[in-house]
Amino acid sequence: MEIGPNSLLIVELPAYGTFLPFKVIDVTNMPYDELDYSPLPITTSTSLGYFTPTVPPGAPLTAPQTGVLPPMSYTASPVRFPLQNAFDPSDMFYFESPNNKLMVIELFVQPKFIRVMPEIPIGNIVASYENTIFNIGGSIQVNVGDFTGLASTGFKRGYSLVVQLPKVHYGYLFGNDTSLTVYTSGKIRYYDLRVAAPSSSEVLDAFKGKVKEVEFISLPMPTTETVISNVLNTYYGTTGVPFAAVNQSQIANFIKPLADKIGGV
Amino acid sequence: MKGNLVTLAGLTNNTTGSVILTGQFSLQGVTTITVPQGMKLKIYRFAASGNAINAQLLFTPNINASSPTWYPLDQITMTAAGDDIHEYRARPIVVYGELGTEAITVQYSQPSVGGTLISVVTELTEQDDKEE
Repeated sequence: MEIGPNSLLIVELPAYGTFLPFKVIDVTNMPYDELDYSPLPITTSTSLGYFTPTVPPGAPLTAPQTGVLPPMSYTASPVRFPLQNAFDPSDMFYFESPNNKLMVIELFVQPKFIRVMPEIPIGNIVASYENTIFNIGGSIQVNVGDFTGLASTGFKRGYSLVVQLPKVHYGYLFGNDTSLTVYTSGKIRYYDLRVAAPSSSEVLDAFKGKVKEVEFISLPMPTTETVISNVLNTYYGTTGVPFAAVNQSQIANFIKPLADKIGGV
Repeated sequence: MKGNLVTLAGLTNNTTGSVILTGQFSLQGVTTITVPQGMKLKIYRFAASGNAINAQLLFTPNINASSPTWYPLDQITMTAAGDDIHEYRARPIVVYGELGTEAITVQYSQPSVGGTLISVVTELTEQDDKEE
């Protein structure tokens, strides 16, 4: 993925039925966008769960070493990425200002088979259908968005991509559903963006496929969250443009409060 | 998604048994390598080096069974000390993780105790295509 100045970033919020359109003014950290973060912030106090029906005999209930995941284990509670001297040393991605700052964060995990699932905000697992069990045709059951199931889905392996909103802590769950005890590590690629409100015609063109440089990134929170709603209203003056607002004047109405908060182009 | 090429290897330490395999990323040796659901394990190379041995690369569809049934994938027989390398560069042996219970192991028997290094070069990737 490449995000450059003058491109569009459409942040989709399915829980709200809305999207937030942004025009990228600058990527302030280019080309120094990569950070080796090793090992993953799994510590000896990180409690573990197991994909197996019962905890295997002798299996540790916390990580045996920093960054280590035993066979069939996952982090039972979400982890953050600490970094000394960051705005919040317990969470390097957390920021509060300026209003027109956004971060897009890609996480590449080694080994690549490690399950990765973000939580937005922390404690709220990302999935379209959290903990929903679909009974397909009365015969097959699939756990959708339930990270802890051996046969669950809703996670990515070795990768995650999120848009970091201001004043929100995100969490990450990691899982190892192999028979190996693995050392984990990660590489972070982040885009430190300065954004503005785009024009309504640009937004419409993006949905028509007429804009070349546009990224659509969804934050698939299963439910609306007070923390997120507060941030959206405080920082952007709106919870987003409803997906139903399909014509230019309607989109313009919703973009206006956004432009008032972060500036428009 | 491209996976990680991982060489798993272990020395035999008896006249019969399962090889304890260790490799990169791995903190502890294991005798079975499971294939998570939705992934596939590619095996590019199966090799033995050292004392005379009969080593079998085996597959089971259900490692959770009380006594798993093992099916052969490959075999190396060395009647004297030496090396034997089986390589599958273009068409690796593939084990699909359809249920997450699939696994491989290496079992061996040899006339004298130990002294043979067994290695298996593997890659664990997502099942983005099944045509291999």
